[in-house]
Amino acid sequence: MVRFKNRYILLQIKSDKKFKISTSELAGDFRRSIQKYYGDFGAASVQNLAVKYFNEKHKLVIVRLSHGPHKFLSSILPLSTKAGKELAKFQILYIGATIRQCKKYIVKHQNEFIRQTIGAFKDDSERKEFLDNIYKSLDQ
Amino acid sequence: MIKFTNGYSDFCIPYNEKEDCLKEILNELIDVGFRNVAIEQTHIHQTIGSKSDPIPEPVKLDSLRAETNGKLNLYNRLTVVYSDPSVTHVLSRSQNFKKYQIVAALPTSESALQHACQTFQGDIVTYNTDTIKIRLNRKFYYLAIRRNMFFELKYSPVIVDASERRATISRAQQYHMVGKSKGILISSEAADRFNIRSPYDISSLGIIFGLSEEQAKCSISTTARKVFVAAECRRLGRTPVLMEYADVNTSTSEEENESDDESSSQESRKRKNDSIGEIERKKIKS
Repeated sequence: MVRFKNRYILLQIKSDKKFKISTSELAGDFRRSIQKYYGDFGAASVQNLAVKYFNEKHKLVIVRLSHGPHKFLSSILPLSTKAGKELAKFQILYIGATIRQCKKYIVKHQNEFIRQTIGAFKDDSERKEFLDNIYKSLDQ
Repeated sequence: MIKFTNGYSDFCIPYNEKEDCLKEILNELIDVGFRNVAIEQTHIHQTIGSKSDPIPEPVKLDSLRAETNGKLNLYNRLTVVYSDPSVTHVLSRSQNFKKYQIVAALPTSESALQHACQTFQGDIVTYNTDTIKIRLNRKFYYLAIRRNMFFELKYSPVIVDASERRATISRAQQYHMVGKSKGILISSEAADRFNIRSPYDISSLGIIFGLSEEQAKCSISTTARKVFVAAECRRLGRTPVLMEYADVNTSTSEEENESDDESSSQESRKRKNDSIGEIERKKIKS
């Protein structure tokens, strides 16, 4: 039996303003932009596109695509400038073959994020709250 | 000696009068992982010029260097816009020209593009909105590659404008058709912090430019390094040869015997050739 290969793209949405977006909206956006740049052929190749994970707080997204057509999405993500209605950019962090590897990478990425930002909190309770929030979001 | 750190490079950030805007862009570049950045100034070549040195003085980067805490290596880059071959003459006489680390040619006509590939003393062949559709043929592409020149692609206009996007992609595919996308350098030309993308993004964006993922990654790391080395060779390559020559003159004047003199001068010529060979070998290696 040959395994059906998927690719999971881990990406982060970066924006100056706070905004809210749902997973279905995100999936629709991705479909629409593939339709725009690659036409019917592209849209037909990414039938099994699904947003598998969405971290509301840090805007981390995991998108599942089949292996091969995942290049349709990864090559046009740098061109998209809007998430919902806000000006934003999509940064690809990692492309993995299993969702487990992507989650491993998220832990690594968040650790790095903690290391960079923890110095800004002077108060102990604030610091604890900040860490708790991140750990909670990792448990999802 | 100018420092170059191995890592990702972006050799086209246009100079902005507002330093705050430029600082924002540089900070963004550090965040996403770039190490070497060139600040671009443009010079439009005119045939009738009365000034003694038409090329502008390179901007001082000290305040920007202080801002980035040594996390970025900053260079000056000059882009020469021209259609007339007399530009070579002006550049060779100019004193300011020598102060730039990286030089790019922006030819505005087909014959100028051929001139840029054949004789222009620079490192990069580039384009802008008006000149993006100029055709290039195989012979001149390979000639430019052999002369250690590189072809530039800019990704920031691709993000902003749809017609620009189409033109850039067709130019990229022309590079692919003509010369298998050899010696492609990808840079940003970002006027805004939002138009900077991370190296990972650029390597996947390379697919629509007809590059493989590996080629795209090379175009911001290895090729950028090659551009820098080629530029340094062009700027400083003559110096060691001149030093050898001075050394030879003093030794020959001391010699009394004529035959000895001749042999030593032969030796010196050989030495001189060696040093030239070494430089060329370095160029080829890089």
